[in-house]
Amino acid sequence: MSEKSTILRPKGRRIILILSGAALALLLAGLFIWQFVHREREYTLDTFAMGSYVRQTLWGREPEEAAAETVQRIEELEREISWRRDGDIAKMNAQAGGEPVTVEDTGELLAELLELSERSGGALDITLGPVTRLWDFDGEPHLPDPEELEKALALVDYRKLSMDSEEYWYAVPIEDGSHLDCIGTKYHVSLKEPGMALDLGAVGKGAACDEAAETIYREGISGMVASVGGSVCLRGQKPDGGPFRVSVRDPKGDPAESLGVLELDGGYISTSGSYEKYFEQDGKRYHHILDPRTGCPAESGLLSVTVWCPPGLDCKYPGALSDGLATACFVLGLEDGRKLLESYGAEGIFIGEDGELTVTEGLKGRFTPREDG
Amino acid sequence: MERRLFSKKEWPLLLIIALAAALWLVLSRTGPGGTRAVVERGGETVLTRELGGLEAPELVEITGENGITFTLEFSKEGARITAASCPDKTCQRTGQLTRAGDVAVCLPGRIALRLEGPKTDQAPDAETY
Amino acid sequence: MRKKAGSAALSGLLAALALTLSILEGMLPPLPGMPPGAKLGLSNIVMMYAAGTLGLPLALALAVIKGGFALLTRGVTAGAMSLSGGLLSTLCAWALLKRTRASLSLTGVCGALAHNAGQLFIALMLTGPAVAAYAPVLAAASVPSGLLTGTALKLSLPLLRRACSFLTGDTPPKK
Repeated sequence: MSEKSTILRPKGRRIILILSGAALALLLAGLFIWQFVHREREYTLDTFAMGSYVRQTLWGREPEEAAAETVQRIEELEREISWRRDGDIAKMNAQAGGEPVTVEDTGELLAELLELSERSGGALDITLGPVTRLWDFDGEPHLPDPEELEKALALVDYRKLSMDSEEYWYAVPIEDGSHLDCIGTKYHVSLKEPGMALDLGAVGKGAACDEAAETIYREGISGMVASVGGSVCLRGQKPDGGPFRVSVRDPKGDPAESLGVLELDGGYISTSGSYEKYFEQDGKRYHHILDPRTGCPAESGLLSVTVWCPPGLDCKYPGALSDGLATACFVLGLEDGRKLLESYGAEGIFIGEDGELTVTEGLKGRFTPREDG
Repeated sequence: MERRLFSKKEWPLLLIIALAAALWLVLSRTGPGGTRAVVERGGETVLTRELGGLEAPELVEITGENGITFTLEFSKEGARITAASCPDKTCQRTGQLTRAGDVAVCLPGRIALRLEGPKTDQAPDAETY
Repeated sequence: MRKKAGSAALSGLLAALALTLSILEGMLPPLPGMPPGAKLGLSNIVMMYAAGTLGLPLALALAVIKGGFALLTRGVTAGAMSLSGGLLSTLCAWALLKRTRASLSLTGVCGALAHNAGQLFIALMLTGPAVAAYAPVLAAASVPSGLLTGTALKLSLPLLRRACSFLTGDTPPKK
């Protein structure tokens, strides 16, 4: 008995040792492979939404899934806020002059935009729908009939958008079987006159940036850049720790040319420029940024306005705000535009028709004009 | 010390080690091309050079610790250390660096020359218009 | 008494051998095909033998002597790297030879991996994180060089054993 065990023991121990060695090696090899599959990496996804290219660049672990989900959320948002679709905004337009529509998220966005409409003195008006449809910049742009334009313009007034909000409690079940009481806000929105129409086209890309910005809260994502058309959202950190670099397109040059580069730690950037969409008729150029007060393309002596909403701004939709501010500033012109930006704590770059560049205080030192420009 | 050179029971283990090492090597060598050269001395960046815009190869002399001097060559294709005054010349033998993550190190001079990937300062992350 | 003296003499002989081999390796032209910075580690042959016959304390002492020699002849950097790599690989070889029945080739490969890991760690401390990019290269180079040192040890074992029995005066334990 004892003889047998002395023979067996060293052999058994050897097998155990070799097995554990092999297990260790397998574990190491597995770790290496895992490290390469799950390492922080860069991922770029290009899609199409809101009538423009959406480019997401994510840094972190498993960025593919995060980017795909964001695409879906932007599509859902587009459905809610596009007047061409069948979401909240389309419903409000359809029920103009009648029953209010009860919404939640869209209401919050509308409330913020309504405030911007007020503070800009109507330079941005989210009820511009009747007029934008006449010009039809997204379809077949043409000069509208003056009489029709006058009628449409009479229907444009953000003050005739009525909004009531109501808070309510709702229960969210939590793990231990009980539930958490949460507070939500419902908005009852109605357009007071028939024929009135909301058009969030001026802020849609910025609002999509707000939606994309949520991606940063996904686990494993350390930094992101999302651009929806020319609106950009910067969040988190780049892997090298350096600032994000955003090129500002030169309104006078061809589309590939850059006026300069903004170096920013985060925030939201939008640009409104008369060079983006325009048509010519009878030798005159008509661009797509309409002044809600005249119903015609804004003439404020500006070629383009770029607005930066820095991180930490006290608002829920900083992307939509930057987009709306850019439009409002373009309509207002340099002086009033600057004051509006200041009141919001936002910064901007104004480019005049004469090519003059005005950079607000907070962007000085962050904007580097192109060397040969 | 009476040992076999190979033991039958061990060869899977040996194979796994060899394969893991080879895999690691392959994975680390398949990065994107380098577009920016960074020179570090004792872990601190002392020089960076964008390689994309270089028309002709550019020679730069730098001095590391212990009085060791180096001649670096930057070109469109990459970067390398063409001459070093240290005795072992390990960094010089590393040759041309072309991929992001490639590195040439001189230990006595505490100098590391490495390449960074295409996402450099020259290329903006986004455009606003 | 005689055995102790013989053991001391053997240690001295092995130390001399290790130093000779490391000088020899320094004189060899860089090997084609081997990445720069990676060495064959010829002295590892001796260190492995020392770990297998002299026991851990003496083998580690040998690694320290080797490191000290590198410090004197090739400077602080080389000394620190040699010491760190030597201690780690000796420890690894001792564990494999004395605590398991690992073959010589496996011991060689693991010893080479440990040696490179120790050296890389020192390089990392001295030069900065950029050096980490060498890790995959060194790991890959460890496999062939470890196999080579293992084979060399197998071939030189009869010679070493004869030297050992001459110095200690008895036949070494067949283990």
